[in-house]
Amino acid sequence: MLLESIKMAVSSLMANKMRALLTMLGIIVGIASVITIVSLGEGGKNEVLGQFEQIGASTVIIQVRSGQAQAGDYINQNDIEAIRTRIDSVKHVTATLQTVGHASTEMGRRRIYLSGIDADFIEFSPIEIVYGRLFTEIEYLDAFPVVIIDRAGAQALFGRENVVGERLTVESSGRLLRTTIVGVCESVASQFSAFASGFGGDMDDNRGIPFFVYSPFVTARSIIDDNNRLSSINVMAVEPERVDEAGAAVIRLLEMRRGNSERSVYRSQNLASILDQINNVINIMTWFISTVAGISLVVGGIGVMNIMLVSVTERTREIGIRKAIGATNTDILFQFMTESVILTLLGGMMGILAGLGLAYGISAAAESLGVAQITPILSWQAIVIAVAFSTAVGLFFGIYPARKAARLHPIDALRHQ
Amino acid sequence: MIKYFLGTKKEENENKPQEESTGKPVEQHPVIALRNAWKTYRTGAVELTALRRISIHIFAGEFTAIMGSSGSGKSTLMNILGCLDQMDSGSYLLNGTDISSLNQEDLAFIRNQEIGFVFQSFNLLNKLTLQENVELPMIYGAVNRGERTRRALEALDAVWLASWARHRPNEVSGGQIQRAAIARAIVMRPALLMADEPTGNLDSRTSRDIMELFIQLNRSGSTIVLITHEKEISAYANRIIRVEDGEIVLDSFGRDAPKPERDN
Repeated sequence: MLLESIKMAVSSLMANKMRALLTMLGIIVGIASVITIVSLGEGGKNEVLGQFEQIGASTVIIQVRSGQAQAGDYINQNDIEAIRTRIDSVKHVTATLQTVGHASTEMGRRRIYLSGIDADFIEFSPIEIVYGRLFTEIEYLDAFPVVIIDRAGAQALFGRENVVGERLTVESSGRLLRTTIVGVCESVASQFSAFASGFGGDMDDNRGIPFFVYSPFVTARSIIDDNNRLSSINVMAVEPERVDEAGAAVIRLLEMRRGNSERSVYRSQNLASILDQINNVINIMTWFISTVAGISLVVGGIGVMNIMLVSVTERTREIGIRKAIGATNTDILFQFMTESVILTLLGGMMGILAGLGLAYGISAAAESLGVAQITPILSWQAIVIAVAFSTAVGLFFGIYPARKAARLHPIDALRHQ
Repeated sequence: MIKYFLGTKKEENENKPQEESTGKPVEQHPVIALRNAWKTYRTGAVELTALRRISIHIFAGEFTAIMGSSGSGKSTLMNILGCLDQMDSGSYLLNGTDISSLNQEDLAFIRNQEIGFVFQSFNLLNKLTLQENVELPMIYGAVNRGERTRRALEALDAVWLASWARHRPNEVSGGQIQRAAIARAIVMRPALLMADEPTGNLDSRTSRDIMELFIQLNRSGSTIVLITHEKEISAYANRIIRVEDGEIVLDSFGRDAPKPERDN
């Protein structure tokens, strides 16, 4: 009986293809929008997770809340030294100076991310040396004018990759520094550094992500004017289980040194808390879109009900014939319910495909504009929910027309022209 | 086994015990036993009594024509005999089953199992092929697919339509459509074949063919009730019941009709 009902429903829908498609539109839009946002959200979460895998579970970022902070509240090198020596739960601590600048050679001038790093930096974000070497202890301490450039930058500025020993002029906010290249590293594939330092949006260069140039912290400070004020440091706990403890200890120490505990200037963020925030944003968006989609599904459902009522009227005589030859009320009810559920289910499936297509389209557009790199992920849960919802809409909005059909009196139905 | 209670003294004598082996009542038992049927329609303040105290007994193997002009109540009678409608009072045993006590679902089951309808306007589903139309009652009768195909083709063959099985109603002639409708009506091997003006939409030659088909079916054992207002058509039957103003005014056996096999 089920198979026969499905066959009947499909043939009846096929007889009115355009009408069926238009009826499904509301369902398609509703399901497609949810699938789009959910698959992009999942993809984005995954992307961010991948980026944060680099800082790892034992890293905590200590930030100065710029709103609450006074000049004396910013972190300096002495604080970092104190953290390094006085807190047991801290394994490494690093501060990075970052700015957007330019690097020039005889061949040209290019935009760069200049990062002033200390010896601990590589514990947080490894620099993969391809040619040459990392900085030495003495270069870190005595502000040697040395830099490490990434592969892509070497290629762009010199036309070759092994540029160890070449001279590079680095400039930032009008100050120039003539440096020697001591190493070439693998290009930074992930956007983590840019993302974490707030440079993510600064991409008006038209050449995608700028190149990375690293120099010792104190060297960078000679051209980056930071007034010895760090607004963020990265701290690595001795083990992931103690990451909260380490974050709290660092904040306590900073507040003790400044005597500003009552203003809660510092905050710590670790992988878990950042993920929480991202999840929050994605969840809010998902709920918002889902509400819109829910409205669309209800509207779509009313459309389905409307068309099914029309269909019942059009097919009154058919219902009469079926009843005369032995169809029970339940048979008729089942037939029309099957039809409305197939209608919404088909709409749901088309919505899943449309949503996925839209998600891939958006991600391709975002990537080509250099805004973000997100691969949409469609989870089986999302598919199940979409299918369940569209079925539910078909059942809910199909019941009234189907009951109307089932309750028709056979004689009246047969007389209907 | 179901005991019959029949109204008149004469019929009571005929009430023989049923043959246990066949399950269905045998020929000498009535297919239709309608007693004191009343039916009144109310539309607003207007009351119209369509049937008054009608009693009919029709036995297996009979070919009965119910005649009457429009408004005589014959359509109401046919709807009640066909279990499409229920009467206000009276009793109706169809092939031994008390119809008056049944609900909608059970009535549908009776229509499916015990009655085959042939309508004036054919009433095939146009989007289905003739074969699919003939299979339809068997779908509701939960006959399995292989059996369905076999019986549908058998029924179509019986009305000389075997080679038209895959055509749709709009691809064949009116006579062929009506023959397909007859195939659909007999495919469940019902106790009763009801034909409501079956030739009303057909020309006289085709009408003759259709009526010959009914005669053939009757000879091979079908109990047929024919509703018509045409004398020529009713002449094919071997019993004529005339209805006027909701009452039976005539119940006669045709001149060359074999008397129904009664024991009296």
